[in-house]
Amino acid sequence: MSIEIRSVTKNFGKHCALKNIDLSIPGGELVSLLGPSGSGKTTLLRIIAGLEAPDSGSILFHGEDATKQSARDRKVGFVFQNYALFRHMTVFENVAFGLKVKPRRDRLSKSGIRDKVFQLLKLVQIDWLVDHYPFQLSGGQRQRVALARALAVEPRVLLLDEPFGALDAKVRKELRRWLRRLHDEIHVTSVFVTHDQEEALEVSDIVVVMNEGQIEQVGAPDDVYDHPANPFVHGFLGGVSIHGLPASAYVRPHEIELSRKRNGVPGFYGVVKYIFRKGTTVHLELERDNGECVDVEIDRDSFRDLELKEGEKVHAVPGNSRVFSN
Amino acid sequence: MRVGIKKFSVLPGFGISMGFSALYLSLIVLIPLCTLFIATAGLSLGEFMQIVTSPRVVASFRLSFGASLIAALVNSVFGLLLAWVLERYSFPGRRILDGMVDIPFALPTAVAGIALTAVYAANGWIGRYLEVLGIKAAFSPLGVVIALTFIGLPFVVRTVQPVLKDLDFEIEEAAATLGADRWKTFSMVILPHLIPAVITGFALAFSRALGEYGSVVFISGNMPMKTEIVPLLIITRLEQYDTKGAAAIAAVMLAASFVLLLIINLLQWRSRYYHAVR
Amino acid sequence: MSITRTSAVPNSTGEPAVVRWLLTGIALTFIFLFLIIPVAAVFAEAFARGFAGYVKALKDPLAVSAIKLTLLTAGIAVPLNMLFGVAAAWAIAKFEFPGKNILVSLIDLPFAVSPVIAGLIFVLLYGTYGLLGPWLVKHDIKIIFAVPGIAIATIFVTFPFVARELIPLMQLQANDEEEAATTLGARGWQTFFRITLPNIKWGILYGVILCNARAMGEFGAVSVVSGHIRGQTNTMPLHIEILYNEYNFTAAFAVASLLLMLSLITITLKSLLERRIHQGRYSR
Repeated sequence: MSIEIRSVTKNFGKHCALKNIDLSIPGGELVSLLGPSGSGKTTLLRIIAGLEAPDSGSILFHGEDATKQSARDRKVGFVFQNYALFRHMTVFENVAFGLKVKPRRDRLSKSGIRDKVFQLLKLVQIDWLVDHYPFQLSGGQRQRVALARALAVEPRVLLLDEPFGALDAKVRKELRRWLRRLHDEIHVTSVFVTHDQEEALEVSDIVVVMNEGQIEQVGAPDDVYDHPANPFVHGFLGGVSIHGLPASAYVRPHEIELSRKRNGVPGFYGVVKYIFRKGTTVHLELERDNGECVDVEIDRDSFRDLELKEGEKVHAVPGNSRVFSN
Repeated sequence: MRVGIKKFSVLPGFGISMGFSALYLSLIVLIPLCTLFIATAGLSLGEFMQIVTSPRVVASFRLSFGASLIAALVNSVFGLLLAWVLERYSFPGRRILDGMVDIPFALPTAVAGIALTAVYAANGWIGRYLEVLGIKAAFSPLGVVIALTFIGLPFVVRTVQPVLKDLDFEIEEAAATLGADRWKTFSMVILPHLIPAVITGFALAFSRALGEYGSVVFISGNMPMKTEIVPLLIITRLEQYDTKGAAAIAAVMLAASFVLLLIINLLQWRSRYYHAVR
Repeated sequence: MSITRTSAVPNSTGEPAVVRWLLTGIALTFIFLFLIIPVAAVFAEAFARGFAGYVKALKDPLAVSAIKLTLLTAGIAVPLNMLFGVAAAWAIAKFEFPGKNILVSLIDLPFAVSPVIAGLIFVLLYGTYGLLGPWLVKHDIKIIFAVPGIAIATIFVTFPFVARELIPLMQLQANDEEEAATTLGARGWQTFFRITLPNIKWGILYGVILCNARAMGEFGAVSVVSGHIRGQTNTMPLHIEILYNEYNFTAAFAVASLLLMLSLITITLKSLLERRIHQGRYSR
């Protein structure tokens, strides 16, 4: 099921959350809306779901205008940031809810509902928690219940709002890989919101980078990473900028090479302000003559060879830099 | 594009719930309250002033405001103390005592009235000892204060308790590490946090005391010019078929209550804002 | 070179034991004088003539009719105010609209009005010389000095109880669960009965219990509109007043003891429910 967003604008009072957004999401893909907080990504997701009404513009599902459709009729699965599990219901009752509230003629039999719930709980690998209440579950388990509940109604699209936001780092990683595999299995068009670039790049087929209510770039993860469309995307995906060399250069911290001496290659000098050891890599913060700070990332071996200390001067050569036309 | 007084929401039922609420509120509260002002408007200013400045009315206002003020002050001091003891100390029966603080809320005022009269009358359990000391509790202005203290007792306790509970214990530890002794910590660090709640509780207790009827009429003795509170005077006028007199006195009383309500609301908005930015 | 003395670290964030004892002592004395003694006095006076006298007072036909009227009044006022409380809380907590703060303040209004004035306004509206008086007389409808007047005055004074309990509770719960139910295809009434209601049922019960206690015990407002017709428009508190003024103390306190027990049950349930509602945020 494809989703088409046509010139959607949304204001909250004086604050403009979305400015004339156009986006088409092809069917069966896993798409991430990536951006800092306040970029409008959650608002866009809620508008797709029908939980928020756009001030202008339209939403099309499979070419059909759904703007006037209520959230109830849109047949979207929505996974809320804090899961919004029904706290007075067991896991089973939560997942069965969407099946039970269907009009009688569309409703499955009791045993049909039961089978379907168990099938879903097996799919999300928590069938052993069926009689538990939400408060008895861990964050990761709640997330899976929320997903199973959303999938139970066989949604045309699956929408996830910061699906891993409330989880700790290890569970996040596990769960996002699992989500990727799950998507490969069920292939329902999915859109998820995240502020974590690593998450977006790792999991999704298409990344939509948003900022201040606008879309900055749409593309495959490699595309967006290797060919950022503008300084914002570059910066948001972990790039640094170096001004006046002679033009501004945009590079990634690991693409800067350091040496004790200038070897005739164009670059700049900087004083090592701080050194952070971070697993297999070392992060350095350089201060240039003009006061600009530049992050550099080198591997442990080169760091050892350079024998750098804080306060020492070093020559840096940005490689692979990009130039953006404004 | 949607146009309407409410913002878009996926949830239904705004029209019916809002419609019913507004209708019910108007029929039960707003329209009846308006009749009081309609009735008062039937009086000329001269007539109105004559009623509300007559000596008996003035005396009753003086008693009602004075006794309510004293009772609310007593409750502010003891309410703060009770809240502190119930929240900070543990002793056997604390939970039960904490629950008992709500008795004045839950006890019908008539029951409170006859119980307090029985206890504080000259031959009562406490009254007889006060009598020895030469203090006449029941059937005197003091009796009015006692009754109003009773019914206002929970307000300060219940407004201070949650603030005390939410108070970050670390600020006290911080004060201690900065060299403040316990009294300084309390007066300079803790008390400023509690004062808004105490004032709100004071205003609530005062407002409640001002309108109180049931618990007072038994213990006060109801002597005109001496122990006659405003609500009683209203009833007396009504029983004498002096509807206009009753309405005029009630209008003054109601205006005072509304001013108090406004102050209480402002206090509560302010403290909510204060908590939000904290 | 100094030798450190072993000493217990003084508790820097607690009061000295003397102060603690003193403050607790004052608090207990205050509670004893103002709460425990009056409560004990009610029971003592009620049983002053033994158990037989107590039972006799309660079996009196006038007492029985007062009890019945009190139950009837609460039976009318409480469900109506509950319905209103749920509707108002739904509108206020789940939707954004201008004038919301004013509406919330208006709901609290009856608490700021003296019970006597609450009674008076209905006399001014429905009494013989009231605004609607002539019309009511013409159609032979009696509201003041009759049961409808008692009921409506009671509704007025107990008006805010359920609403003011539910509004903050529902505002705290946000709309997530209801929105989730809607995306899963639930209709409005399905969402309300299956999602919202289970989440607020303890809050409703809490409001209802407090509303009921006040409805059964209201004195001032009812006193103004009732007319004190024995066996007809006398509620329990009015019956107590009459007995007391006739110096029939034992009977007055016997009926009072029933209301006292009601209020003790009320505060017990209240504190049980408070615990339940607070836990409810984490469990069911």
